[in-house]
Amino acid sequence: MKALVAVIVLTALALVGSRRAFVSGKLPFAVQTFFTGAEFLIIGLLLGSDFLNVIDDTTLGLLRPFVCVILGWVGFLFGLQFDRRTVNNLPGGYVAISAIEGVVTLAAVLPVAWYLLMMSTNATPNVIAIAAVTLAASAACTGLTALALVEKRGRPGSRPTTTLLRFISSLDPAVGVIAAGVGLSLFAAHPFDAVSFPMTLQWLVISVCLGSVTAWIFVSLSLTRTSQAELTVYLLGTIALAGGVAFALHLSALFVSFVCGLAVANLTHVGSIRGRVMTIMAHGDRFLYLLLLVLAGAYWKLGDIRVLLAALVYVGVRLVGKVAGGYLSTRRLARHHAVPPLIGLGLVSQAGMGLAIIVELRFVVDHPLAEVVMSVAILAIIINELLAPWLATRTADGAGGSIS
Amino acid sequence: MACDPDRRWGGGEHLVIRRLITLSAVGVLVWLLLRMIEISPSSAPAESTFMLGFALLSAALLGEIVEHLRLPRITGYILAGILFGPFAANLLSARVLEPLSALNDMAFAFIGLAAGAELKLATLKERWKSIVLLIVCTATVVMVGVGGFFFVTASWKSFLDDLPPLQILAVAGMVGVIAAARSPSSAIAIIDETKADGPFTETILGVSVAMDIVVICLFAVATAVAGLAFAPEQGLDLVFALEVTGAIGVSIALGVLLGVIMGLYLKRKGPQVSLVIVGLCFLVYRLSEIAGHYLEQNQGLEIHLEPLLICAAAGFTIQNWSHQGPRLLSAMDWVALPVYVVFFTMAGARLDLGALATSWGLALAIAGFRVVMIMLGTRLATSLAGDPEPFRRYCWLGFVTQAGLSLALISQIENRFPGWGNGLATTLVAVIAINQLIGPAAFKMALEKVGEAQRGSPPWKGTS
Repeated sequence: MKALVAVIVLTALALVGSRRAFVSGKLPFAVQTFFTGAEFLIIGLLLGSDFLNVIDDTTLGLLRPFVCVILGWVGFLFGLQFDRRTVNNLPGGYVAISAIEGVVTLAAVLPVAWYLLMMSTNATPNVIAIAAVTLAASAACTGLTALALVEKRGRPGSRPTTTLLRFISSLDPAVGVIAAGVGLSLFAAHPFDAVSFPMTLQWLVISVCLGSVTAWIFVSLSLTRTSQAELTVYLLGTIALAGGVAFALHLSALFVSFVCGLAVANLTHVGSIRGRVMTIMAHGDRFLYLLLLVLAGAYWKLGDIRVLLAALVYVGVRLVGKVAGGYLSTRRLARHHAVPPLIGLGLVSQAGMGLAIIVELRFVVDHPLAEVVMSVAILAIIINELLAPWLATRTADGAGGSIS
Repeated sequence: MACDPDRRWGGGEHLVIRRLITLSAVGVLVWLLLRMIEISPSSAPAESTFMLGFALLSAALLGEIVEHLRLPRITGYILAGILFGPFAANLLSARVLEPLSALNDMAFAFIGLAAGAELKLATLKERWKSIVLLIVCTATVVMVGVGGFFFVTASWKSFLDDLPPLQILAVAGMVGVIAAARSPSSAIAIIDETKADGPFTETILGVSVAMDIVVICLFAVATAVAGLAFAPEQGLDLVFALEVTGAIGVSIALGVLLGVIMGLYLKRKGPQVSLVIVGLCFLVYRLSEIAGHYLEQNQGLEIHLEPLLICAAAGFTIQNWSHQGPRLLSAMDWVALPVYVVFFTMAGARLDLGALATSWGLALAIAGFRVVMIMLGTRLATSLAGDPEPFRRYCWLGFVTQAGLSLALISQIENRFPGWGNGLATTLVAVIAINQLIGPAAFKMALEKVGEAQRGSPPWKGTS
């Protein structure tokens, strides 16, 4: 009965949210900054076992197959965006800018997270490595919600900068997803033992193969004339297969599904398939994302003051990484166009893929450290989501001239 | 890039070969993975998830393959369940199916909603005479005929050896009632697949849904009579019959209420209608179960609400009294195929082939006799109603399939009459397995023969 109540509450929240969230256009900007989606994490926390206990641990256990499919869905949809024809049409250098920015942020957060985890826990080196890589992977991702608020204000002078920010935010989560794939390959190789790089590489290759094989299956099914309903069946089947297999092998469902989506986008010669799949996925996208937010909140255990301190350090290091990454990656572009030097301040938002990566860690790695990492990351995501609209506005308004 | 994909792959035979290759690849991938993965309690949800993916893909593939043999797709889904289920390859084992039972429950209620939404009052009013006659004639002929056949051949059944004739007659009464049951779920799936529309389609669907109610009521009476035959000292169990009738009334009332609420939601253009429908169907099934348990434990009442009936009443209300029928059907279209694939694949996996193997001869005889009785009953009804000739000739083909309700009634016999009840259940489950395999193909053929299946429409035109 409790599970049923939890499902009712979850569904109702996601339904109401999918209509109301992210569209609070009539409210003042200051108020809107509190409604970028992070509020659903708080709601999830309140419904979770730390407070109201509506979504208890048993319910979360029952919902595991569902979470598995959601993560597969998120990864597949993200991979699908990397159609080579679309990527080739992007303004010059945007892919490289996004990749460099993401890698720099990852490189900035990884050693700090690793060091702090080494100093503060007695977990095995492999678990620490996985946790650190996951925190860094999540940090590399930029969410789009804050940018949406800035764009809604529609100041003409800020458009070139917001366009650049939008491109980076859309592309840099790829760095995070790949890093998450590496992180969980570490776990698949030796769950709780020493770090083994050859084995990690082997599991990473297996992840890529799994994504490619499931993509081949999907493409092989969808190349012949299929109705939208049949395509939905094939899509759901492929996502469940890819995501489920990844989890069964303790690999990253996000990464495997990302590879699958990427391969599907680039293997299909019938141009309309990608568009049709996107249409199907757009139907459930927002609903599933809100469910993920509430479920992440329910998984979240508050912890003590050290978690808050760790989250503040994480936010700080990530901010440094974003600013440095933004500066370094846009230097070439800045020779010809007016790019604000602190463009990284506009890339602070962390929801979306950054959150999915953290949920996946909690889902796959059955270790107390995963719980702590999740608490730190969610707290950081909330802080970042509160800061992001202000910083993104400042970045966009402070820039001038044309970029693209 | 704008070439015709079918032409590129060389048409029908090549498509089947290609599908078979893909199916083999999916099967090999899953087989290899199951050997690689050590299934522990923590990895069980992951196993269920990827097996769900496997079930969806393999069933959809088999559905396409059998379609080229002019069979309905749901036969392919059922075959996939049988092939990969516990009695053959055991990929969809009982352990895998258990966490997915929620999907099955939801699908059951969803199909009820779809069936109700397909029933248009205006057409039913036009066809009421045929519908009533079909219900009365086929129910009577099948019950009496199959029950009589069962009684006459009682000596063939070892599990009835110790029973006196009066008790065998009571058992035969229950068998007759179960034989009259249909499968609205299969009917609606075939109608959806063939995009069939017209008086024949509506009549078959209307009869199938209404017959469920009639069968439930008759089963309550038959069980009460059987109870009297087996324990005359306890007297006639009228309470049970009243409970069943009450459950039907409450189910319909709840369904109408649900229909009104859903109609308002649709009218106000609420978000994510497809997902709301799926969620509501899941809720209806689960809440019916919980209410049943509660009433049984706390009030001592065996009132089991019927989720299929609740949803069918809701769908009927929306279609006929809220003006939101088209919107409901369009929203259901988005999710209908995945729901059917899951439901019928799981139904196939749950088909007790063990029972069929042990009593196939007797089962075949009962199934065959049932078909003959359905032919007689429908011929009588359609003649009395003055239906046109194609209708008279092919009507019986729409009533062969049996599924969920029959199995539920059999399990009630098993629970109420342990001992011979188990033997009877084995035989009747085997009969249902046969009917479930041949029924969908028969109904599809009937729809094509009377010209109500839209075979000419291109496959991609369907749902969107």
